[in-house]
Amino acid sequence: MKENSLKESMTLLKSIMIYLFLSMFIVGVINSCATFKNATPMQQSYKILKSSQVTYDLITNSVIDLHKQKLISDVTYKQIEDIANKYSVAHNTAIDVVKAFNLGIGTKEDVSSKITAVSAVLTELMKIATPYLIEGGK
Amino acid sequence: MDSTTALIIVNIMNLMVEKGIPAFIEWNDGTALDDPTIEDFEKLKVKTMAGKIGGD
Repeated sequence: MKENSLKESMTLLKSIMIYLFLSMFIVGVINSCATFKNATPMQQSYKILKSSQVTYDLITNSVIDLHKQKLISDVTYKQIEDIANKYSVAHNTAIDVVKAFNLGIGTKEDVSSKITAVSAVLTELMKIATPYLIEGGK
Repeated sequence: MDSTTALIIVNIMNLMVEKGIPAFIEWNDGTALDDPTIEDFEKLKVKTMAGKIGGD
C-alpha cells in the first residue's frame, strides 16, 4: 500500500515536471507574441526558436532514454522519430530563412511562415510523445 | 524512485539548468538577446534523434 502511494506520488511528480516545462514553452511563445509590436523579427524568431529547441531536446532525449530501456517499442520510437525528423528539418530551415532575412534576403512573411511551420510540427511531436513521457514508456 | 523517473527528471533538470532557466530569465529581465546574431541562431540548430545517438 505504501509502495502504491509512493508510485502515485512519483507519477504525479513526473506529470508536474513535464507540464511545468511545457508551460514554460507556452509562456515563452505567448511572451514573444505579446511583445511583438516592440520586437524585431529577429528577436521574436530567436525567442520562439530557442523555446522550441529546448522543448524538442527534452522530448527527444527522454524518448531516446526510454527506448534504450526498452520502455518504448520500436514501432512507437519510429513514429516519434519520423515526426522528430520532420521537426528538425522545419526548425533548421527556419533558422536558415531567419539568417537570410538578416542579410536582406527574403521577407518578414517568409520568416513568419517558417516559424509557424515549426510550431505546427512541434505541436504534433508533443501530442504523440508527451503521453509516453508522462507514463514513463509503454 | 524507478530508473525511468530518475532519467526523465534528470533530463528535465539538465535542460532547465543548461538552457531553459537562463533563457527564461533572459526574456524576463530583458537584458539579453536584444540583438541576436547569426552565430546565436546557428547555435539553435537541432540534431536528429539518429544524430544524437550517433553523436554527429
